[in-house]
Amino acid sequence: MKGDIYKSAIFGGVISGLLSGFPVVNLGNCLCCLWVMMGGLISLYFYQKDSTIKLDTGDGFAVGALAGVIGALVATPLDLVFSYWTRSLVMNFLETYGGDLKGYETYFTTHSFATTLIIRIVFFALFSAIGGAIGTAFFKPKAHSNS
Amino acid sequence: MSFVYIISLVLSMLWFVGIFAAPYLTHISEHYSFLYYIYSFVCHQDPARSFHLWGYKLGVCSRCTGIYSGALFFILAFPFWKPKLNARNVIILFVPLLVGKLMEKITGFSTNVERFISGFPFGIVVGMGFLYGLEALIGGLNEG
Repeated sequence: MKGDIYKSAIFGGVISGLLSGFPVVNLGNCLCCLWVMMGGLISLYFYQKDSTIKLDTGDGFAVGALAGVIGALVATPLDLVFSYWTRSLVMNFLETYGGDLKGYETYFTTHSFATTLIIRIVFFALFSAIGGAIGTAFFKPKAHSNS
Repeated sequence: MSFVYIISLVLSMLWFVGIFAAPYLTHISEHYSFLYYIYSFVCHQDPARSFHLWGYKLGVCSRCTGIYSGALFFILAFPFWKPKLNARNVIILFVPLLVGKLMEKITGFSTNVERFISGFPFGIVVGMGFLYGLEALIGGLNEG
C-alpha cells in the first residue's frame, strides 16, 4: 500500500519553499536548484516511509512535482517580501561593485508577481520531480510496516 | 522512439539551446534578453564563473552548463546506453561535483573548464531522473 502522496508533498514542499524563500539561504538553489531537488527527495522519503511497497521512479517524479508546486507557492511570496525589504541595499551594492544592475531592475519593473510565480511553479515542479525520481534510488520501504 | 522520449529530447534540447541563445539574442538585439531572466531562476549567472560567447555570458554559469550538457548527453545517448538509476551510480556521478566544490573551497581557485567538467557527470543523473521519472509516470518508453 502506498502512503499519502499529498501529506508527503506538503512536507517536502514547505521545507524546500522555506529554504528557497529566505535570502542568503536561497543561494543553494544556484547549484542546480539544490533546495528544490532536496524538497523532492524529502517528500519521497516521507512517501516511501508511509508505504509498504517499493515506490518506483514514477511515484518519486509525481510526489516531487507536487512538492515543487507547493514549494513555489511558499517561496514566491516570501522571496517577494524579502526582496522588497532589501531592494535599496542590493541596488547600492550592485552600483558600487558593478553587478548586474540592469537585470536586477528588470526584476522589479517589468515582471509581475504572477509571472514569477508561474515560472517558479514550472521550474520547481520540474526540478523537484527530478529530485523525487533520484530519491527512489536511495529509499526503501520498511521491512515489516503495519501502515 | 516513444512519445515520452521524443518529448524529453525536445525539451532538453530547447533548454540547452536557450543557454546559448541568451548571449546571441543579446548580441543581435542589443536589448537585455528575457532568457537571462528565465535562467536566473536556476543559476546565479555570475559573469566571472560563466563562459562567454558573442561578448556576453551564457544563460547559466559554467558548472550549470556542464550539468545541462550532461543531461542532454544522457538523453541523446539513451537509445544506445541505459544505465540504472541506483544509489551506486548516483553517488559515483555526484562525486566529481562534490570534489570540484571542495577543491574550489580549499584552494580558492577553479577555472570555468574545471567547473564544467565537475558538473557534467551529475548532469547525467539529472537526465536519468527526468527521463526515467517521466517514463515511469507516463509510460511508453521502449526499454528494449
